[in-house]
Amino acid sequence: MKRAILAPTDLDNLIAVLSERGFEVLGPTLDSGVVTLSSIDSTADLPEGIRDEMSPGRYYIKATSDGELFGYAVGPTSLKPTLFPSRRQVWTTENTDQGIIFRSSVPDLRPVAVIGARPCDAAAMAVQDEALLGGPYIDTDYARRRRDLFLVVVNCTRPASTCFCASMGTGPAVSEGFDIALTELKLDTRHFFVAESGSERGQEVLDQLGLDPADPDDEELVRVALEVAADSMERTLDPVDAYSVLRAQPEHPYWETIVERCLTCANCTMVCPTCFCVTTEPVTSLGDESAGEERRWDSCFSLDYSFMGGSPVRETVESRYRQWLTHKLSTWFDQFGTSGCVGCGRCITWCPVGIDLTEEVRHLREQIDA
Amino acid sequence: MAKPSLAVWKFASCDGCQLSLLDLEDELLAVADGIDIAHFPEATTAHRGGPYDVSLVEGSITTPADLTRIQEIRAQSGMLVAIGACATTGGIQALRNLADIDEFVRVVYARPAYIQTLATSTAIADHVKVDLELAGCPINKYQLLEVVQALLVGRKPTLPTYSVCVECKERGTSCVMVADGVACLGPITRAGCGAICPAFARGCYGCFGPSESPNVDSLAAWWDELGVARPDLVRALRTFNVNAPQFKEASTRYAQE
Amino acid sequence: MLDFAALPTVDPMLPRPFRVVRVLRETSDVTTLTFEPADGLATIAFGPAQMGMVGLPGLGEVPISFSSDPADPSQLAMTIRRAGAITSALVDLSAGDSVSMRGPYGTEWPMEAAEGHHLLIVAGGLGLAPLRSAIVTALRRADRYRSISLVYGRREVSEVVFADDLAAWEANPAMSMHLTLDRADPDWSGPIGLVTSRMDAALLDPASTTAMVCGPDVMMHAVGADLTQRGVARGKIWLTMERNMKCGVGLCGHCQFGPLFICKDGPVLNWATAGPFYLIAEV
Repeated sequence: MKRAILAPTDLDNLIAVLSERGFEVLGPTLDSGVVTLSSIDSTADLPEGIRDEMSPGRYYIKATSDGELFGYAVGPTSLKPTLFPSRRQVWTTENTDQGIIFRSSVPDLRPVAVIGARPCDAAAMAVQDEALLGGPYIDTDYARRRRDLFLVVVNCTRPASTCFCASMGTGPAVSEGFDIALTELKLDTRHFFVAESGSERGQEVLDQLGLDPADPDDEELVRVALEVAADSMERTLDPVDAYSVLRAQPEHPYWETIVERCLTCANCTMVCPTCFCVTTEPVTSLGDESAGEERRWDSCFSLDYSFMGGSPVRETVESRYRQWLTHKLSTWFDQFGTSGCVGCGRCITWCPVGIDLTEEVRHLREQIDA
Repeated sequence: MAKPSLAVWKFASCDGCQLSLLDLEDELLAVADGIDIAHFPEATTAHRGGPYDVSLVEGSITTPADLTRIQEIRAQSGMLVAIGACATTGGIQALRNLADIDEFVRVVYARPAYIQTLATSTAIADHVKVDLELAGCPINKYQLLEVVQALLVGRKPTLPTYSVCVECKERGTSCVMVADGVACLGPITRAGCGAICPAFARGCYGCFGPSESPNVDSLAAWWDELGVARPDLVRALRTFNVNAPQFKEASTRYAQE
Repeated sequence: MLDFAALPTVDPMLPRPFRVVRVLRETSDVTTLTFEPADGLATIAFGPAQMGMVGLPGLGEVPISFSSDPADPSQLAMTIRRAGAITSALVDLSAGDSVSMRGPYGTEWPMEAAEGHHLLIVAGGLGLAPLRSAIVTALRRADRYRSISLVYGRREVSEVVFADDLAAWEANPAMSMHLTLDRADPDWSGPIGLVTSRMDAALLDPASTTAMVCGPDVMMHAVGADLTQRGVARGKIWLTMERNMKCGVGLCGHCQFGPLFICKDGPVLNWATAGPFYLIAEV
């Protein structure tokens, strides 16, 4: 696909074009000291000059005056809340002369365009696609939201210390699943994006913006910037080795060491862009004969999750942590053919006590080999 | 089918949880339509004797008279629901459990001889069988409504026991501890309030008591790293749910360090 | 690239209304309910051991295996034990009451693959319910199996379900019955002991036996290990499993057992596949 040069002002045009095409445009914004995802009207809403620094259990924002619009790595908000809402009504009943009728709750949805998702987010979406749309039964609500999504990915030139997408093969450059991919370049004299389309409608939108083609020098700058970003990542995880290490000794005493640290608070599963476990809850209302069912995010860290025959199957902390990590990094391959991890590092940053899955896998490997 | 009868009882408490029931303004008519409110002094002077299908009990057991009254209530209640931190863990007044009650009485009252009190403030379940506990200081009115609705259709009410963190994530609040270094009890506190405080950039105060599997020591170690002094940690654990076993055990240990 | 136009649009979580047409109280805690659709559409056709998500609007849903004859969908039935709020309400239903229903879900007993073999059916307690469909299916073509044996263990004499069926099977020359009670009871004159204590009598030729087992996890674990030791191939020992299940269609995650989703990879699994995970505590 031919690459084009997009100036910051063109980005405003892109937002306008997407709005005109009926999309609600979401983008990164700075909210309560965190880069998150919310509605944007123009580039003025983007967190200009903002950097994020992360370490296990800590997240900091730093303001700079360099004017980069996507100079941070990754906030707590993936595409998951947009495509797979934390709570939704599934169905309601209606009592008729013919008896009870069950009706799917199908909300009116405005198609969403996201500008500034990261390559790991696009990779996570592909992982959720497989889990939720792979069949034979599918999540029809996810399918609708997913079908209508217009995705503008911005490649990562400033990964955080918690990032390890390069080792997972999911970044720092996006490879598929996007409509438009941008790479932001801020040189001494120029601030611009190199754009490429990943779909027909992505190309249509780029054509509508009337952009100049990128020259080979600019493409080389992009290549170098992304190579530097990949090389700068401190953390690594070998997905193939993780697959086998987690299968090897599920009852290794190492698992018990997690008991001292894990809070079983479920934060890792909530911020994880691929975790798809849900539970259903019955709903009734007073003064009204109708009933319904709601679905909300669930977590393998909750006791209710495995409750059966009067007690939870996974009662100990180590069994719940082991379930999470083993599913994410190992049995996910058996079920869906890929790792359930995309290397975004959110579970490391947003664990309130800084448990780092890359370290856990490393320690488990060392213990098993010892 | 006859409407189930409901009685509301008060022990040592501030009435805040009963107010949650009154605070269900929009839903109260429907509640009154579905159930027969037989005894609820906070709302009505009308009173009918027992037995009652359901009793909501607010407050903790703090006096010798409470000890007998709670037995009587239990005896005339089909289902007994303890509502609020006082009724489920002993409440903030359970701070007395860590102190000398006689000294309090001497200091506070002009004529201590007239005061009859127990040395401890304890949960309803420490004295009688409790069928359901609704945590919180105060309780969440929507959880109370959920209990009433569930009772009416005969289902188990949906009352989460996981951590407040799940509610923060559900409403899209970023973690105040990770992002701002604010000490927060959310990871070891039971959900149910809707994660109100973190949404206002505050750490969780633990109003709903311990979550289903709280790791107090791990969180305490992290608070150390955030620079929270141990006495402040002890104070944080000793509030509305000071007598909850996991908070009590940990705070006692930290206080002795 | 995903082809969204090719994806199904009906939400698999949307139930259909069914009506209870017959109630059979098996024991004080166990009821067999027979259902018919209340939406004018065809009833659910299921294979032996497949399950449905049955529920009551406002109360919730539970996964229950169908216990009726798969060849006669008009008699679609489930045998339900009173455990939690939902199953208690289901057990107490009367003819004419409405339920929500989805299904059928999951894998089936390998009735055809077992042909030419001795068919050894091992049930513990209410584990007989998902096996009933296998037994009636097998008896209809009994000549295709070298023998059909049922080992049925219970904790209490009063726990018996499908009393009429048991009597009919006792009288059926194609069926060899091995009933046992976990512990001695004045009302019981038959053998005492766990189901594994009946294997000497029930297991005819390990090399040409296909076993179908259902009961509590601990019992299936014991039977799986016992039959393996006696020489039945791991791939010929079939179990049907139960786990916490919210969707039944592989979307909620709850029923995972190692890499397996009990709802879609199971509930029927063989010991070669499921056995290794039985050995892991709290898997």
